[in-house]
Amino acid sequence: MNIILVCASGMSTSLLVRKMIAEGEKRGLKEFNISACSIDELENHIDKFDVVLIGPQLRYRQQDVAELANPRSKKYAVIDLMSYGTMNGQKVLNQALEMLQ
Amino acid sequence: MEGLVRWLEKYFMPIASKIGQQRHLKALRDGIVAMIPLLLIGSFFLIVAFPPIPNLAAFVEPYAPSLLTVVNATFDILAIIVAFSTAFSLAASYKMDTLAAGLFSVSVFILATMPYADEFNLALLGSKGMFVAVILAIAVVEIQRMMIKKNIMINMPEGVPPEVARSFGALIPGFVVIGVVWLLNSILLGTTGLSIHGVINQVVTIPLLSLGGNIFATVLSIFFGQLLWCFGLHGTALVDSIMRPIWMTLSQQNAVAKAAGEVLPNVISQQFIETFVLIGGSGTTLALAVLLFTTVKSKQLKALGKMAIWPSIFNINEIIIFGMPIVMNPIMWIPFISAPVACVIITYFALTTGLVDRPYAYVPWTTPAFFSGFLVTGDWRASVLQLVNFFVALLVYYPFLKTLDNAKVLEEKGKSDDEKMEQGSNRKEKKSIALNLN
Repeated sequence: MNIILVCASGMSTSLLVRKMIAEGEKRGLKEFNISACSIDELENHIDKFDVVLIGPQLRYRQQDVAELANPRSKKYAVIDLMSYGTMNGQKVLNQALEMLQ
Repeated sequence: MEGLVRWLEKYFMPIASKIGQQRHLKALRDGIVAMIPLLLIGSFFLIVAFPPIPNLAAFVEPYAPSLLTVVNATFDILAIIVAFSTAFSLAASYKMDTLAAGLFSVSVFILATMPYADEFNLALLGSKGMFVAVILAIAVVEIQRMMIKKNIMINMPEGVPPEVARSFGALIPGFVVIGVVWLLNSILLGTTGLSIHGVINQVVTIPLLSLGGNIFATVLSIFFGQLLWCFGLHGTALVDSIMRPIWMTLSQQNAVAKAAGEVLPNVISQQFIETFVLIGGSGTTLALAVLLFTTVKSKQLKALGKMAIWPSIFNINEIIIFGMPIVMNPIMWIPFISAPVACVIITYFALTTGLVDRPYAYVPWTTPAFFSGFLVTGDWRASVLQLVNFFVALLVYYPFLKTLDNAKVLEEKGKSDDEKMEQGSNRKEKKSIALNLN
Protein backbone atom coordinates (compact mmCIF):
# COMPACT_ATOMS: atom_id res chain seq x y z
CA MET A 1 0.00 0.00 0.00
CA ASN A 2 1.57 3.25 -1.17
CA ILE A 3 0.06 6.66 -0.49
CA ILE A 4 1.33 10.04 -1.62
CA LEU A 5 0.09 13.38 -0.32
CA VAL A 6 0.48 16.57 -2.33
CA CYS A 7 0.34 20.25 -1.44
CA ALA A 8 1.99 23.40 -2.79
CA SER A 9 5.47 22.49 -1.61
CA GLY A 10 4.99 19.21 0.24
CA MET A 11 5.73 20.87 3.58
CA SER A 12 2.45 20.86 5.47
CA THR A 13 1.43 17.49 4.06
CA SER A 14 4.67 16.03 5.38
CA LEU A 15 3.39 16.79 8.90
CA LEU A 16 0.29 14.75 8.17
CA VAL A 17 2.40 11.97 6.66
CA ARG A 18 4.19 11.57 9.96
CA LYS A 19 0.88 11.21 11.80
CA MET A 20 -0.39 8.70 9.26
CA ILE A 21 2.75 6.58 9.54
CA ALA A 22 2.42 6.59 13.33
CA GLU A 23 -1.20 5.50 12.97
CA GLY A 24 -0.29 2.77 10.49
CA GLU A 25 2.38 1.41 12.81
CA LYS A 26 -0.04 1.44 15.69
CA ARG A 27 -2.45 -0.66 13.68
CA GLY A 28 0.33 -3.05 12.77
CA LEU A 29 -0.06 -2.49 9.04
CA LYS A 30 2.65 -4.13 7.03
CA GLU A 31 4.49 -2.90 3.98
CA PHE A 32 3.08 0.55 3.67
CA ASN A 33 4.74 3.63 2.32
CA ILE A 34 3.36 7.13 2.87
CA SER A 35 5.09 10.14 1.45
CA ALA A 36 4.53 13.81 0.50
CA CYS A 37 5.62 15.99 -2.39
CA SER A 38 4.83 19.21 -4.20
CA ILE A 39 1.98 18.99 -6.69
CA ASP A 40 4.34 20.13 -9.42
CA GLU A 41 6.59 17.14 -8.79
CA LEU A 42 3.81 14.57 -8.66
CA GLU A 43 4.46 13.40 -12.20
CA ASN A 44 7.93 12.15 -11.19
CA HIS A 45 6.65 10.16 -8.24
CA ILE A 46 3.14 9.02 -9.03
CA ASP A 47 4.14 5.68 -10.58
CA LYS A 48 5.39 4.42 -7.23
CA PHE A 49 2.07 5.05 -5.45
CA ASP A 50 -1.47 3.69 -5.49
CA VAL A 51 -3.36 6.61 -4.00
CA VAL A 52 -2.90 10.37 -4.31
CA LEU A 53 -4.36 12.57 -1.58
CA ILE A 54 -4.57 16.29 -2.27
CA GLY A 55 -4.29 18.99 0.41
CA PRO A 56 -7.61 20.88 0.49
CA GLN A 57 -5.90 24.20 -0.26
CA LEU A 58 -5.02 22.82 -3.68
CA ARG A 59 -8.42 21.36 -4.49
CA TYR A 60 -8.60 23.84 -7.36
CA ARG A 61 -5.87 21.80 -9.04
CA GLN A 62 -7.69 18.48 -8.78
CA GLN A 63 -7.90 18.36 -12.56
CA ASP A 64 -4.08 18.36 -12.79
CA VAL A 65 -3.95 15.33 -10.54
CA ALA A 66 -6.75 13.66 -12.46
CA GLU A 67 -4.79 14.00 -15.70
CA LEU A 68 -1.85 12.20 -14.11
CA ALA A 69 -3.84 9.65 -12.14
CA ASN A 70 -6.53 8.51 -14.59
CA PRO A 71 -4.31 7.16 -17.38
CA ARG A 72 -2.36 5.20 -14.76
CA SER A 73 -5.60 4.09 -13.06
CA LYS A 74 -4.46 5.50 -9.74
CA LYS A 75 -7.00 6.71 -7.23
CA TYR A 76 -7.06 10.28 -5.97
CA ALA A 77 -9.13 12.44 -3.61
CA VAL A 78 -9.06 15.73 -1.74
CA ILE A 79 -8.37 15.44 1.98
CA ASP A 80 -11.25 16.51 4.19
CA LEU A 81 -10.77 20.08 5.46
CA MET A 82 -11.21 19.39 9.15
CA SER A 83 -9.06 16.24 9.18
CA TYR A 84 -6.35 18.24 7.46
CA GLY A 85 -6.50 21.10 9.94
CA THR A 86 -6.40 18.82 12.94
CA MET A 87 -3.72 16.67 11.27
CA ASN A 88 -5.90 13.66 11.94
CA GLY A 89 -3.72 10.78 10.75
CA GLN A 90 -6.35 8.24 11.69
CA LYS A 91 -9.14 9.68 9.54
CA VAL A 92 -6.96 10.38 6.54
CA LEU A 93 -5.48 6.89 6.69
CA ASN A 94 -9.01 5.50 6.79
CA GLN A 95 -9.91 7.60 3.78
CA ALA A 96 -6.97 6.15 1.84
CA LEU A 97 -7.72 2.57 2.93
CA GLU A 98 -11.36 2.89 1.88
CA MET A 99 -10.29 4.13 -1.52
CA LEU A 100 -8.08 1.09 -1.99
CA GLN A 101 -10.83 -1.39 -1.27
CA MET B 1 -22.48 32.03 4.07
CA GLU B 2 -23.49 28.78 2.41
CA GLY B 3 -24.64 30.72 -0.64
CA LEU B 4 -21.37 32.59 -0.83
CA VAL B 5 -19.42 29.37 -0.69
CA ARG B 6 -21.55 27.79 -3.38
CA TRP B 7 -21.16 30.87 -5.54
CA LEU B 8 -17.40 30.71 -5.08
CA GLU B 9 -17.20 27.02 -5.90
CA LYS B 10 -19.31 27.53 -8.99
CA TYR B 11 -17.73 30.63 -10.50
CA PHE B 12 -14.37 31.08 -8.92
CA MET B 13 -13.00 27.54 -8.74
CA PRO B 14 -12.94 27.11 -12.51
CA ILE B 15 -10.94 30.35 -12.83
CA ALA B 16 -8.52 29.32 -10.08
CA SER B 17 -8.23 25.94 -11.69
CA LYS B 18 -7.48 27.54 -15.07
CA ILE B 19 -4.75 29.73 -13.60
CA GLY B 20 -3.28 26.78 -11.72
CA GLN B 21 -3.31 24.60 -14.80
CA GLN B 22 -2.44 27.15 -17.44
CA ARG B 23 0.36 25.48 -19.29
CA HIS B 24 2.60 28.49 -19.86
CA LEU B 25 2.23 29.83 -16.33
CA LYS B 26 2.99 26.36 -15.07
CA ALA B 27 6.12 26.12 -17.21
CA LEU B 28 7.19 29.52 -15.95
CA ARG B 29 6.58 28.43 -12.36
CA ASP B 30 8.68 25.31 -12.85
CA GLY B 31 11.30 27.38 -14.64
CA ILE B 32 11.56 29.71 -11.66
CA VAL B 33 11.58 26.91 -9.10
CA ALA B 34 14.52 25.43 -11.00
CA MET B 35 16.60 28.57 -10.50
CA ILE B 36 16.07 28.79 -6.73
CA PRO B 37 19.06 26.61 -5.74
CA LEU B 38 21.30 28.96 -7.73
CA LEU B 39 19.73 31.97 -6.00
CA LEU B 40 20.38 30.44 -2.60
CA ILE B 41 24.00 29.62 -3.42
CA GLY B 42 24.54 33.10 -4.86
CA SER B 43 22.95 34.64 -1.77
CA PHE B 44 25.23 32.66 0.50
CA PHE B 45 28.30 34.10 -1.20
CA LEU B 46 26.72 37.56 -1.20
CA ILE B 47 26.15 37.37 2.55
CA VAL B 48 29.70 36.13 3.15
CA ALA B 49 31.14 38.88 0.94
CA PHE B 50 29.26 41.57 2.88
CA PRO B 51 29.13 40.29 6.45
CA PRO B 52 26.88 42.43 8.64
CA ILE B 53 29.53 42.77 11.36
CA PRO B 54 32.01 45.65 10.72
CA ASN B 55 35.16 43.88 11.97
CA LEU B 56 34.38 40.84 9.94
CA ALA B 57 33.60 42.99 6.91
CA ALA B 58 37.06 44.57 7.08
CA PHE B 59 38.60 41.12 7.25
CA VAL B 60 36.62 39.78 4.28
CA GLU B 61 37.03 42.86 2.09
CA PRO B 62 40.15 41.72 0.18
CA TYR B 63 38.36 38.49 -0.76
CA ALA B 64 35.09 40.15 -1.75
CA PRO B 65 35.80 40.44 -5.51
CA SER B 66 36.64 36.76 -5.65
CA LEU B 67 33.54 35.80 -3.64
CA LEU B 68 31.38 37.93 -5.91
CA THR B 69 32.37 35.96 -8.99
CA VAL B 70 29.91 33.37 -7.71
CA VAL B 71 27.23 36.05 -7.69
CA ASN B 72 28.13 36.81 -11.31
CA ALA B 73 27.73 33.18 -12.21
CA THR B 74 24.35 32.82 -10.45
CA PHE B 75 22.28 36.01 -10.14
CA ASP B 76 23.77 37.61 -13.24
CA ILE B 77 22.92 34.80 -15.63
CA LEU B 78 19.47 33.87 -14.36
CA ALA B 79 17.81 34.86 -17.61
CA ILE B 80 19.83 32.18 -19.42
CA ILE B 81 18.84 29.65 -16.78
CA VAL B 82 15.19 30.62 -17.09
CA ALA B 83 15.40 30.51 -20.88
CA PHE B 84 16.52 26.90 -20.58
CA SER B 85 14.33 25.73 -17.71
CA THR B 86 11.09 27.32 -18.95
CA ALA B 87 11.47 25.88 -22.44
CA PHE B 88 12.45 22.56 -20.91
CA SER B 89 9.34 22.31 -18.71
CA LEU B 90 7.00 23.59 -21.41
CA ALA B 91 8.37 21.02 -23.86
CA ALA B 92 7.98 18.35 -21.19
CA SER B 93 4.32 19.28 -20.77
CA TYR B 94 3.82 18.72 -24.52
CA LYS B 95 5.91 15.52 -24.35
CA MET B 96 8.34 17.02 -26.84
CA ASP B 97 12.13 16.78 -26.98
CA THR B 98 12.98 18.74 -23.82
CA LEU B 99 16.69 19.03 -24.36
CA ALA B 100 16.39 20.41 -27.89
CA ALA B 101 13.79 22.94 -26.73
CA GLY B 102 16.01 24.13 -23.90
CA LEU B 103 19.06 24.48 -26.11
CA PHE B 104 17.27 26.37 -28.88
CA SER B 105 15.72 28.63 -26.29
CA VAL B 106 19.13 29.60 -24.87
CA SER B 107 20.51 30.15 -28.34
CA VAL B 108 17.56 32.30 -29.39
CA PHE B 109 17.74 34.31 -26.18
CA ILE B 110 21.39 35.17 -26.79
CA LEU B 111 20.63 35.95 -30.41
CA ALA B 112 17.85 38.34 -29.44
CA THR B 113 20.03 39.95 -26.78
CA MET B 114 23.49 40.36 -28.25
CA PRO B 115 22.97 43.06 -30.86
CA TYR B 116 21.21 45.18 -28.25
CA ALA B 117 24.44 45.94 -26.43
CA ASP B 118 27.59 47.27 -28.04
CA GLU B 119 29.58 45.00 -25.82
CA PHE B 120 28.72 41.85 -23.97
CA ASN B 121 26.51 43.26 -21.26
CA LEU B 122 26.09 40.88 -18.34
CA ALA B 123 23.06 42.73 -16.96
CA LEU B 124 21.06 41.72 -20.03
CA LEU B 125 21.55 38.07 -19.13
CA GLY B 126 20.33 38.62 -15.58
CA SER B 127 17.35 40.49 -14.22
CA LYS B 128 16.91 42.67 -17.32
CA GLY B 129 16.49 39.58 -19.45
CA MET B 130 14.08 37.52 -17.34
CA PHE B 131 10.86 38.30 -19.17
CA VAL B 132 12.61 38.30 -22.53
CA ALA B 133 13.85 34.80 -21.76
CA VAL B 134 10.39 33.63 -20.70
CA ILE B 135 8.60 35.05 -23.73
CA LEU B 136 11.17 33.68 -26.16
CA ALA B 137 11.19 30.28 -24.46
CA ILE B 138 7.43 30.03 -24.91
CA ALA B 139 7.67 31.21 -28.52
CA VAL B 140 10.42 28.71 -29.32
CA VAL B 141 8.50 25.75 -27.95
CA GLU B 142 5.24 26.82 -29.58
CA ILE B 143 6.87 27.20 -33.00
CA GLN B 144 8.54 23.82 -32.60
CA ARG B 145 5.27 22.26 -31.60
CA MET B 146 3.42 23.76 -34.53
CA MET B 147 5.99 22.35 -36.93
CA ILE B 148 5.90 18.91 -35.41
CA LYS B 149 2.12 18.96 -35.55
CA LYS B 150 2.17 19.88 -39.23
CA ASN B 151 4.87 17.27 -39.69
CA ILE B 152 7.41 19.73 -41.08
CA MET B 153 10.55 17.86 -40.11
CA ILE B 154 13.04 15.47 -41.56
CA ASN B 155 11.56 12.02 -41.35
CA MET B 156 14.18 9.33 -41.27
CA PRO B 157 13.50 6.03 -42.98
CA GLU B 158 12.96 3.09 -40.71
CA GLY B 159 16.09 1.29 -39.68
CA VAL B 160 17.86 4.53 -38.76
CA PRO B 161 18.66 4.32 -35.04
CA PRO B 162 16.11 6.34 -33.01
CA GLU B 163 18.79 8.56 -31.45
CA VAL B 164 20.06 9.58 -34.86
CA ALA B 165 16.53 10.22 -36.05
CA ARG B 166 15.93 12.36 -33.00
CA SER B 167 18.93 14.58 -33.64
CA PHE B 168 17.69 15.25 -37.15
CA GLY B 169 14.09 15.58 -36.01
CA ALA B 170 14.96 18.72 -34.09
CA LEU B 171 17.04 20.18 -36.88
CA ILE B 172 14.40 21.82 -39.07
CA PRO B 173 12.26 23.22 -36.25
CA GLY B 174 15.45 24.58 -34.67
CA PHE B 175 16.56 26.09 -37.93
CA VAL B 176 13.21 27.80 -38.39
CA VAL B 177 13.08 29.06 -34.80
CA ILE B 178 16.54 30.59 -34.96
CA GLY B 179 15.94 31.89 -38.47
CA VAL B 180 12.69 33.60 -37.50
CA VAL B 181 14.25 35.25 -34.48
CA TRP B 182 17.25 36.34 -36.50
CA LEU B 183 15.05 37.85 -39.20
CA LEU B 184 12.74 39.60 -36.75
CA ASN B 185 15.69 40.90 -34.79
CA SER B 186 17.34 42.29 -37.91
CA ILE B 187 14.16 44.00 -39.04
CA LEU B 188 13.59 45.53 -35.60
CA LEU B 189 17.20 46.72 -35.38
CA GLY B 190 16.97 48.24 -38.83
CA THR B 191 13.73 50.07 -38.22
CA THR B 192 13.62 50.93 -34.52
CA GLY B 193 17.23 50.51 -33.50
CA LEU B 194 16.12 48.10 -30.78
CA SER B 195 16.58 44.36 -30.71
CA ILE B 196 13.84 41.92 -29.70
CA HIS B 197 15.30 42.13 -26.23
CA GLY B 198 15.05 45.93 -26.24
CA VAL B 199 11.48 45.92 -27.52
CA ILE B 200 10.28 43.33 -24.99
CA ASN B 201 11.97 45.32 -22.26
CA GLN B 202 10.13 48.48 -23.26
CA VAL B 203 6.77 46.86 -23.84
CA VAL B 204 6.66 44.14 -21.18
CA THR B 205 9.43 44.24 -18.59
CA ILE B 206 9.35 47.89 -17.60
CA PRO B 207 5.55 48.10 -17.18
CA LEU B 208 5.43 44.77 -15.32
CA LEU B 209 8.22 45.71 -12.94
CA SER B 210 6.73 49.10 -12.18
CA LEU B 211 3.42 47.37 -11.51
CA GLY B 212 5.04 44.77 -9.25
CA GLY B 213 7.02 47.42 -7.39
CA ASN B 214 3.92 49.50 -6.82
CA ILE B 215 2.55 49.55 -3.27
CA PHE B 216 -1.10 49.48 -4.34
CA ALA B 217 -0.61 46.49 -6.59
CA THR B 218 1.20 44.78 -3.72
CA VAL B 219 -1.56 45.47 -1.22
CA LEU B 220 -4.08 44.21 -3.73
CA SER B 221 -2.08 41.01 -4.38
CA ILE B 222 -1.77 40.32 -0.67
CA PHE B 223 -5.45 41.08 -0.08
CA PHE B 224 -6.53 38.77 -2.87
CA GLY B 225 -4.22 35.95 -1.76
CA GLN B 226 -5.47 36.19 1.81
CA LEU B 227 -9.10 36.29 0.73
CA LEU B 228 -8.67 33.06 -1.21
CA TRP B 229 -7.15 31.40 1.86
CA CYS B 230 -10.30 32.38 3.78
CA PHE B 231 -12.16 29.98 1.51
CA GLY B 232 -9.50 27.32 1.93
CA LEU B 233 -7.70 27.84 -1.36
CA HIS B 234 -3.94 28.28 -1.52
CA GLY B 235 -4.17 31.98 -2.33
CA THR B 236 -0.47 32.63 -2.07
CA ALA B 237 0.34 29.95 -4.64
CA LEU B 238 -2.26 31.37 -7.01
CA VAL B 239 -1.13 34.97 -6.67
CA ASP B 240 2.48 33.82 -6.84
CA SER B 241 2.03 32.21 -10.20
CA ILE B 242 1.51 35.72 -11.55
CA MET B 243 3.44 37.97 -9.16
CA ARG B 244 6.42 35.84 -8.25
CA PRO B 245 8.33 36.21 -11.52
CA ILE B 246 8.00 39.98 -11.10
CA TRP B 247 8.96 40.07 -7.44
CA MET B 248 11.87 37.68 -8.01
CA THR B 249 13.19 39.93 -10.77
CA LEU B 250 13.04 42.91 -8.43
CA SER B 251 14.92 40.88 -5.78
CA GLN B 252 17.51 39.94 -8.30
CA GLN B 253 18.10 43.56 -9.30
CA ASN B 254 18.85 44.31 -5.66
CA ALA B 255 21.32 41.43 -5.40
CA VAL B 256 23.16 42.51 -8.53
CA ALA B 257 23.28 46.13 -7.32
CA LYS B 258 24.63 45.00 -3.96
CA ALA B 259 27.41 42.99 -5.60
CA ALA B 260 28.30 46.00 -7.76
CA GLY B 261 28.35 48.29 -4.71
CA GLU B 262 25.41 50.33 -5.98
CA VAL B 263 22.33 51.63 -4.19
CA LEU B 264 19.64 48.92 -4.00
CA PRO B 265 16.88 50.03 -6.38
CA ASN B 266 13.80 48.14 -5.15
CA VAL B 267 11.71 48.23 -1.99
CA ILE B 268 9.14 45.62 -2.99
CA SER B 269 10.62 42.25 -3.83
CA GLN B 270 10.10 38.58 -3.06
CA GLN B 271 11.79 39.04 0.32
CA PHE B 272 9.51 41.99 1.09
CA ILE B 273 6.60 39.56 0.98
CA GLU B 274 8.21 36.36 2.30
CA THR B 275 10.45 37.77 4.99
CA PHE B 276 8.68 40.85 6.28
CA VAL B 277 4.96 40.41 5.58
CA LEU B 278 4.06 36.73 5.76
CA ILE B 279 5.81 36.07 9.08
CA GLY B 280 4.76 32.56 10.07
CA GLY B 281 3.04 32.00 6.73
CA SER B 282 0.02 33.55 5.01
CA GLY B 283 -1.91 35.82 7.33
CA THR B 284 1.23 36.70 9.34
CA THR B 285 0.09 33.92 11.68
CA LEU B 286 3.22 33.49 13.80
CA ALA B 287 1.64 36.06 16.12
CA LEU B 288 -1.58 34.06 16.17
CA ALA B 289 0.32 30.84 16.87
CA VAL B 290 2.08 32.46 19.83
CA LEU B 291 -1.25 33.76 21.16
CA LEU B 292 -2.77 30.30 20.76
CA PHE B 293 0.19 28.79 22.55
CA THR B 294 0.13 31.19 25.48
CA THR B 295 -3.16 32.95 26.12
CA VAL B 296 -6.20 30.86 25.19
CA LYS B 297 -8.44 29.01 27.63
CA SER B 298 -10.46 26.78 25.33
CA LYS B 299 -9.20 23.20 25.27
CA GLN B 300 -9.53 22.90 21.53
CA LEU B 301 -7.57 26.11 20.85
CA LYS B 302 -4.94 25.19 23.43
CA ALA B 303 -4.36 21.86 21.73
CA LEU B 304 -4.17 23.66 18.40
CA GLY B 305 -1.60 26.09 19.79
CA LYS B 306 0.63 23.26 20.96
CA MET B 307 0.45 21.60 17.59
CA ALA B 308 0.81 24.75 15.50
CA ILE B 309 3.65 26.56 17.20
CA TRP B 310 6.58 24.55 15.81
CA PRO B 311 5.59 24.49 12.15
CA SER B 312 4.68 28.19 12.47
CA ILE B 313 8.24 29.06 13.43
CA PHE B 314 9.21 27.68 10.04
CA ASN B 315 6.40 29.57 8.32
CA ILE B 316 4.13 26.56 7.83
CA ASN B 317 0.62 27.30 9.02
CA GLU B 318 -1.96 25.06 7.34
CA ILE B 319 -2.65 23.62 10.77
CA ILE B 320 -3.93 27.00 11.93
CA ILE B 321 -5.73 27.85 8.70
CA PHE B 322 -7.64 24.56 8.58
CA GLY B 323 -7.51 23.57 12.24
CA MET B 324 -8.71 26.70 14.00
CA PRO B 325 -10.16 27.06 11.43
CA ILE B 326 -9.76 30.36 9.60
CA VAL B 327 -11.37 28.83 6.55
CA MET B 328 -15.13 29.53 6.53
CA ASN B 329 -14.86 31.29 9.89
CA PRO B 330 -15.67 34.94 9.08
CA ILE B 331 -14.75 36.28 12.51
CA MET B 332 -11.11 35.38 11.84
CA TRP B 333 -11.08 36.75 8.30
CA ILE B 334 -10.79 40.34 9.45
CA PRO B 335 -7.45 39.92 11.24
CA PHE B 336 -6.24 37.30 8.75
CA ILE B 337 -6.56 39.81 5.94
CA SER B 338 -5.74 43.02 7.76
CA ALA B 339 -2.62 41.87 9.64
CA PRO B 340 -0.57 41.22 6.48
CA VAL B 341 -1.91 44.35 4.80
CA ALA B 342 -0.79 46.39 7.83
CA CYS B 343 2.63 44.72 7.60
CA VAL B 344 2.91 45.65 3.91
CA ILE B 345 2.32 49.30 4.74
CA ILE B 346 4.70 49.37 7.72
CA THR B 347 7.44 47.56 5.79
CA TYR B 348 7.01 49.81 2.79
CA PHE B 349 7.38 52.85 5.01
CA ALA B 350 10.45 51.46 6.81
CA LEU B 351 12.25 50.49 3.61
CA THR B 352 11.45 53.62 1.56
CA THR B 353 12.50 55.99 4.32
CA GLY B 354 15.73 54.05 4.84
CA LEU B 355 14.94 53.23 8.48
CA VAL B 356 15.81 49.69 7.49
CA ASP B 357 18.15 48.58 4.68
CA ARG B 358 16.57 46.96 1.65
CA PRO B 359 16.84 43.19 1.16
CA TYR B 360 19.26 41.71 -1.35
CA ALA B 361 20.04 38.13 -0.32
CA TYR B 362 17.56 35.29 -0.74
CA VAL B 363 16.94 32.65 1.90
CA PRO B 364 14.59 29.65 1.89
CA TRP B 365 11.06 30.69 2.86
CA THR B 366 11.16 28.28 5.78
CA THR B 367 13.89 30.32 7.52
CA PRO B 368 12.51 31.46 10.91
CA ALA B 369 11.51 35.11 11.32
CA PHE B 370 13.78 37.58 13.13
CA PHE B 371 16.71 35.54 11.90
CA SER B 372 15.67 35.81 8.25
CA GLY B 373 15.35 39.62 8.29
CA PHE B 374 18.95 40.01 9.36
CA LEU B 375 20.14 37.50 6.77
CA VAL B 376 18.40 39.03 3.76
CA THR B 377 19.47 42.61 4.49
CA GLY B 378 22.61 42.32 6.61
CA ASP B 379 20.95 44.93 8.83
CA TRP B 380 19.94 44.15 12.42
CA ARG B 381 17.18 46.75 12.17
CA ALA B 382 15.45 44.42 9.70
CA SER B 383 14.94 41.97 12.56
CA VAL B 384 13.48 44.83 14.60
CA LEU B 385 11.12 45.56 11.72
CA GLN B 386 10.05 41.91 11.74
CA LEU B 387 9.47 42.18 15.47
CA VAL B 388 7.36 45.31 14.96
CA ASN B 389 5.31 43.56 12.28
CA PHE B 390 4.94 40.57 14.58
CA PHE B 391 3.57 42.74 17.40
CA VAL B 392 1.24 44.63 15.10
CA ALA B 393 -0.16 41.29 13.92
CA LEU B 394 -0.43 40.24 17.56
CA LEU B 395 -2.53 43.31 18.39
CA VAL B 396 -4.70 42.80 15.32
CA TYR B 397 -5.39 39.16 16.17
CA TYR B 398 -5.84 39.49 19.91
CA PRO B 399 -9.42 40.84 20.19
CA PHE B 400 -10.75 38.45 17.56
CA LEU B 401 -9.04 35.47 19.10
CA LYS B 402 -10.35 36.45 22.54
CA THR B 403 -13.93 36.56 21.23
CA LEU B 404 -13.53 33.20 19.59
CA ASP B 405 -11.86 31.76 22.68
CA ASN B 406 -14.67 32.91 24.96
CA ALA B 407 -17.24 31.42 22.65
CA LYS B 408 -15.35 28.13 22.51
CA VAL B 409 -14.97 28.00 26.30
CA LEU B 410 -18.73 28.39 26.69
CA GLU B 411 -19.32 25.80 24.01
CA GLU B 412 -16.96 23.34 25.67
CA LYS B 413 -18.54 24.01 29.04
CA GLY B 414 -21.96 23.49 27.48
CA LYS B 415 -20.79 20.14 26.17
CA SER B 416 -19.48 18.97 29.52
CA ASP B 417 -22.73 20.17 31.08
CA ASP B 418 -24.54 18.00 28.58
CA GLU B 419 -22.52 15.06 29.72
CA LYS B 420 -23.37 15.77 33.33
CA MET B 421 -27.05 15.98 32.37
CA GLU B 422 -27.55 19.26 34.15
CA GLN B 423 -30.63 21.43 34.02
CA GLY B 424 -31.88 21.98 30.51
CA SER B 425 -32.68 25.67 30.88
CA ASN B 426 -29.18 26.54 32.00
CA ARG B 427 -27.75 24.74 29.01
CA LYS B 428 -29.99 26.45 26.52
CA GLU B 429 -29.04 29.84 27.87
CA LYS B 430 -25.35 29.11 27.53
CA LYS B 431 -25.78 27.79 24.05
CA SER B 432 -27.58 30.92 22.98
CA ILE B 433 -24.73 33.05 24.30
CA ALA B 434 -22.27 30.95 22.36
CA LEU B 435 -24.35 31.33 19.24
CA ASN B 436 -24.50 35.09 19.59
CA LEU B 437 -20.77 35.26 19.90
CA ASN B 438 -20.29 33.08 16.90
